[in-house]
Amino acid sequence: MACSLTAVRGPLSVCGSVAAGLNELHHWLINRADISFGAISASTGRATTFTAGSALLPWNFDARGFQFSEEMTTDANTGAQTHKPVLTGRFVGLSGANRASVQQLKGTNLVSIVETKAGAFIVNGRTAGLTLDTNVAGSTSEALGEVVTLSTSETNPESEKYFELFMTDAATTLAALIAAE
Amino acid sequence: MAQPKYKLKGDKKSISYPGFKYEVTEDHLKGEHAENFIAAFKKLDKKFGEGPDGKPKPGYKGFDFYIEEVK
Repeated sequence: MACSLTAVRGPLSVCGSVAAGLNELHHWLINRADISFGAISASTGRATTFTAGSALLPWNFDARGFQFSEEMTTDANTGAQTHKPVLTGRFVGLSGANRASVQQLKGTNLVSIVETKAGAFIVNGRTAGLTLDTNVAGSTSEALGEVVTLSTSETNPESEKYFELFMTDAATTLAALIAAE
Repeated sequence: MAQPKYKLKGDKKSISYPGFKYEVTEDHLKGEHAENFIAAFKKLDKKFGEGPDGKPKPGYKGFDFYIEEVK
């Protein structure tokens, strides 16, 4: 039996355009085992608290090519609907430091928190975790350096979509994240 | 609610703290998350206000310039 839809969604109330893209200066990673979040509101899609058992790690990719996408799939047999977030980032240049950064991401199980250019703090990886999914290194000018994707594994997708961390306002949220570094 | 421990210096209503994207108001330092702001400012001072040798960068205006303890 289908689930019943009871909520309404009003007309768009935003004036002007919504800024696209991610703020490469405000991205953090943390081991999934080390962070928990308060309940996510069913109506706002926001959690208003988090507890970090270790320091949030600022992880700054280059602004060029730093992007996020998430795709939902439905299992043909079970009907389960799962999500595959993909965070794509780039380290410009070929260097030992960039190699080391890629190596450090291997085999991890991470939660990513990133601010969008519209000022929302988006959390990925809460239910299954992200790890280094792909890595391509290149020497041509349009692909110079390391491009990595952080995503879920094929066998362990996210059972829920990304959500927003929002503590009172954007300034308070940012302060909490920096304080947790 | 507990008394605020810190306030904006010179009774300013709001400030733009170096390295912090958003405007910080006096209400932020009175609110339940005030300690996060203080901790964040101190981390930003370390990140932007110190040279590689750990010494303060000349001319950098950070915590002591913007914030004062409530006596």
